Amino acid sequence: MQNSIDTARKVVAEGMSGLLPELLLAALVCVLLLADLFLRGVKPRATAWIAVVGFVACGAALVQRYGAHAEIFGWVQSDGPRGMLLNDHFAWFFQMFVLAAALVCVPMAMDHAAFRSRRMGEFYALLAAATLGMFLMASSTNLLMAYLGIEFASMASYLATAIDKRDRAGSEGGLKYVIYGSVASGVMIYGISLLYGMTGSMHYGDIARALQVHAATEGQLMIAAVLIFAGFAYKMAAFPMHFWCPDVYQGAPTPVTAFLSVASKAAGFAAFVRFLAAFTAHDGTFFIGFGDEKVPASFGWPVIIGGAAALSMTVGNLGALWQTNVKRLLAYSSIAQAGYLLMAVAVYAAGKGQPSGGDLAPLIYYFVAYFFMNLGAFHVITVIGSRTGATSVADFAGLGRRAPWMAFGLGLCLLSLLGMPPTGGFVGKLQLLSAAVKHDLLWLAILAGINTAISAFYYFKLLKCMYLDRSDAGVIRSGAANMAVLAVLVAPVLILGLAFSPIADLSRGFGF
Amino acid sequence: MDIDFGTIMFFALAIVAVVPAFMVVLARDIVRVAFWLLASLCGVAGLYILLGADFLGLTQVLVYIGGILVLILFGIMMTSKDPLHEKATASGKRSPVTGLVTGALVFAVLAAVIVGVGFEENKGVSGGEPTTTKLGEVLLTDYVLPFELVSVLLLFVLCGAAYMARRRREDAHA
Amino acid sequence: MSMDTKTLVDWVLGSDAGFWWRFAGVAAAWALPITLWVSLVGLISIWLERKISAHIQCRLGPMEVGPHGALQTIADGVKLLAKEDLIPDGADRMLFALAPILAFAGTFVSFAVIPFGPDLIITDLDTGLYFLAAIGSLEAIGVIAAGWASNNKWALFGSVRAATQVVCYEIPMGLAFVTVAAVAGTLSMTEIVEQQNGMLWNWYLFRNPFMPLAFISYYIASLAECKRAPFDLPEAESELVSGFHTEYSGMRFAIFFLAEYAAMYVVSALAVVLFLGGWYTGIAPVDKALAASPLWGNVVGALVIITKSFALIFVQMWLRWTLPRVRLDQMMHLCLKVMVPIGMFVLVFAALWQALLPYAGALNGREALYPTLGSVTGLVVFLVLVIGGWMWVRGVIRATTSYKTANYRT
Repeated sequence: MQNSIDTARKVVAEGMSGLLPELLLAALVCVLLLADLFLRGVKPRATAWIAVVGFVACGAALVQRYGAHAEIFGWVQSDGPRGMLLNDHFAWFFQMFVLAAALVCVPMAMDHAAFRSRRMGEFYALLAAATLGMFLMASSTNLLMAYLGIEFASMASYLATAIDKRDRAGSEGGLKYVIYGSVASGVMIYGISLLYGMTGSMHYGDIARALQVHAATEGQLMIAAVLIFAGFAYKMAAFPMHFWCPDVYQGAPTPVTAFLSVASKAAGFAAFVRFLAAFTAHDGTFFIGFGDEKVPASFGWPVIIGGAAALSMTVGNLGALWQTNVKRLLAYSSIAQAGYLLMAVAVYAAGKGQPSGGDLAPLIYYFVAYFFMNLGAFHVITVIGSRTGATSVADFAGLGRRAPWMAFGLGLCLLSLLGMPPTGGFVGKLQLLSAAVKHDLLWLAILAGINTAISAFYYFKLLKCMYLDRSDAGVIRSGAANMAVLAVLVAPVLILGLAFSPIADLSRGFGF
Repeated sequence: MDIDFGTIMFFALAIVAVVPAFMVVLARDIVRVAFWLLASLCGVAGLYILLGADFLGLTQVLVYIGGILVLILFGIMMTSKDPLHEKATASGKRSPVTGLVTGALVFAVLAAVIVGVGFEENKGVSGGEPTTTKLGEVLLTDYVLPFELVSVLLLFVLCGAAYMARRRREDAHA
Repeated sequence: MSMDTKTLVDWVLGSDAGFWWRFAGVAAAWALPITLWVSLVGLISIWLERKISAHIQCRLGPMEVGPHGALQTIADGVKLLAKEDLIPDGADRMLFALAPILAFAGTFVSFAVIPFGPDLIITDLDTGLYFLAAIGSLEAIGVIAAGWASNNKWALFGSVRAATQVVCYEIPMGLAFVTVAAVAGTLSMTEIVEQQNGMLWNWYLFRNPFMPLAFISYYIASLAECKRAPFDLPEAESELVSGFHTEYSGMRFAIFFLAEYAAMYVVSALAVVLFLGGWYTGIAPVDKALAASPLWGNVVGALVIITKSFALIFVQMWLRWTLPRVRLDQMMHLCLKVMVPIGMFVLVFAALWQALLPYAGALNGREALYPTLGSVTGLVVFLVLVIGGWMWVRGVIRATTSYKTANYRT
């Protein structure tokens, strides 16, 4: 026993040094929870600045961790380590992504009407906690850790959604989020227990090893895997688990919606891709559900993920057509975007089965573009919403005249979400489609094309409203700070569309 | 003795776990539902103990019966506005066929998986051996990170719950 | 959960007896005596309660049936047996019948891990303390069921109060349990007692400077768990008729009543096991001599543990007839804002003490005869608490007893 304790001490000591960003976030949660108690008499915004400082410090620690490749917090066995977290390039990218989203959400929250002039220490603490959970999701290499990360992020998101207690829609959204979330979580944990029973481990490496010796038939395995997928799909807001999305996005305070639509989705994808990689065997062959290993993509992961992708896009885009509330419209749009992103995962899965190996670059690139275009859109909606109370599409009438720069930014983001040149969304989608065609997923590429056409209707509906519809309302003053944030978010949308090759090259570095 | 005590106990506990679970679905009065749930949870706890997971079984009792069930009953009593005994669960006029078919399908699929799979042998502890010490050791060695993280999770969820439950004092005078 | 090896049944049957034999043996050897013991505890403590309350109020109490009314409770029991069993109109009959059983079962099952002596324990579970913490909630559910099923608003109020109270006070109680577990390094009841072997200062009450606080915290929480005054809000005669059992009569009422008094014994015996040395007398040579003979060790051990438990029961009654009832908000405030922080403080510092100043092994052999740093500071803190508390109470009494009332007394 003494021996095992010594080993554990060593593992913890080693792990702690690689865990600095997470520790900083955990400390930030505690500091922010207490901050309001000790900052009476100070401006309410003080907590927001604490959050900014904390996130920046965490970012610095994360930058310092760049290039690490270490599996931490686990135990060593003869054939390799069994860790809880794996810090590598892939995790680093998604952690930076989530952190940046959280950082962008702070000024948005400071500007949000319902949050102004109130003590929001709890809110920023929840933001930090959600970020911590998503950090864990991105680097999880153990189902236990992935589940814990998801719960971490979910709990914080539930609370953040319902943070404004005066707002009935927010409370309703929060409650629906909790209920759907617990169902998803229950389904996922059932799947995990099945997979654990079949393979005897929750560590991805062990699962892959056990799959090599065929612990279970493909059908049984696929049921377990699909049940687990439900949990991830819930965080991605993808097809079978997308029901919560419109109500929550509409009800939540807009900064929270922005954070959920970007960070939560990214973390869900990161965790899922890691889980998917567990189905990669030692020698690089890819385990793909039903069918023979020699006949890839007959009916396996690529088809299942591709199916979920196709349904997500279609459901999202068709649902968005009739929406009049802007946030609800963007919620359906985000379901559709999850579909495109899932397409990238399907391509990755298909590629894994082939000698060339899986390529995550399209996914990474699309996420970079998605970060800017979606956050940019939500930023404009927050700014306009907190000044005019605008919620429906009609409220944005004449925005091109009333707030030209804001309208321009929103317009550009919408074009990018739609996938029009010269924006980042176009390049991202182009990469996706070409990769899909290359990996024999032509049907999926065609469906994505059709869906892009459908989505044009509602994106253009909002654009038309902003630029063609007339409105007598006065000019909206957005403030210099908001303009600066807008510039930071929108400029990259253009840059990603025009000068894409350096970033495309960079995105190749963040795969496995 | 020849009679396998374990098998008899297993089936007895399984009945205790499953029959009340059916009643949870079928009963109309929501308080009755809660009490059927009590029986079902007890059965499951008994099964855990029978399988040698004594600490887990007691945790089941502590968390589900002492915590969640009391909370459910509490919620019912606090929120009910109707006269005392008219707490029907849902509008019970829907056709049971959809539910039955879905339930049967899910059951068939899961049962097929569970029966078909050759589950891994339990590696950690042999049956009947006390598990508490081993659990404690493992929690503070191999699983120390999740263990500590759960405490952070509980901390902020506790604060969040308190925030949600707090009376709107600051809102009132704002 | 394996049947533990160290039980009386094994002693009689031999440890290689078949499972069914042992099962039957355990049932016969324990179920009957425990049932009798629970009834006896009820009889004695109900009589005690009446006599103590009477003497505190300068009355005599029951005097007619038996010497000093000792048989009064039996007479009352016979009366209750003969009473009509009423179920109110509109009650949920199933739950109404189930409630007293649940409440009683929760208490009754606790006896499975409460020891009476070194070998006198039904099953010395490896998870004994945890078992008690888990099973305690069953009684709360019985009470809630009673209040709900009665279809009576007083009963419902009573049961809602009971649920609040029990759920709240489980936290400081659990913290005290965890503190003891952290110090003892085990959850087994007999092992916890055995670690308190030796002189008085080896009892967990004095094990380190934080344990006295843990004991007081546990004791207050146990009062609330038993719904005893000053935490008798769920019954609150002056407000709720008699709370959750307003509608109960006859034997069903008697079972609730019995469960309450049995619970008093359980929490007191638990306090004795956790803090007051269990079956040890606190005088090392005596304990050593007793341990040499299994028979005397168990008989005297049982007497010791029962005496200590009844001493604590006496304190419970004394408090009941001295203190006024707290209000609901005071009850919550005391628990969540006073006792939980204290419990946390005690747990953290007791664990730190244990980790930084270990003296494992000090109790084996001669060292047990001498107080350690922990027991000296523990004793000091205990005395400071007792004397400080006494002076504080005296101060309060002096300050609140006005000239007029002082005169009135004569």
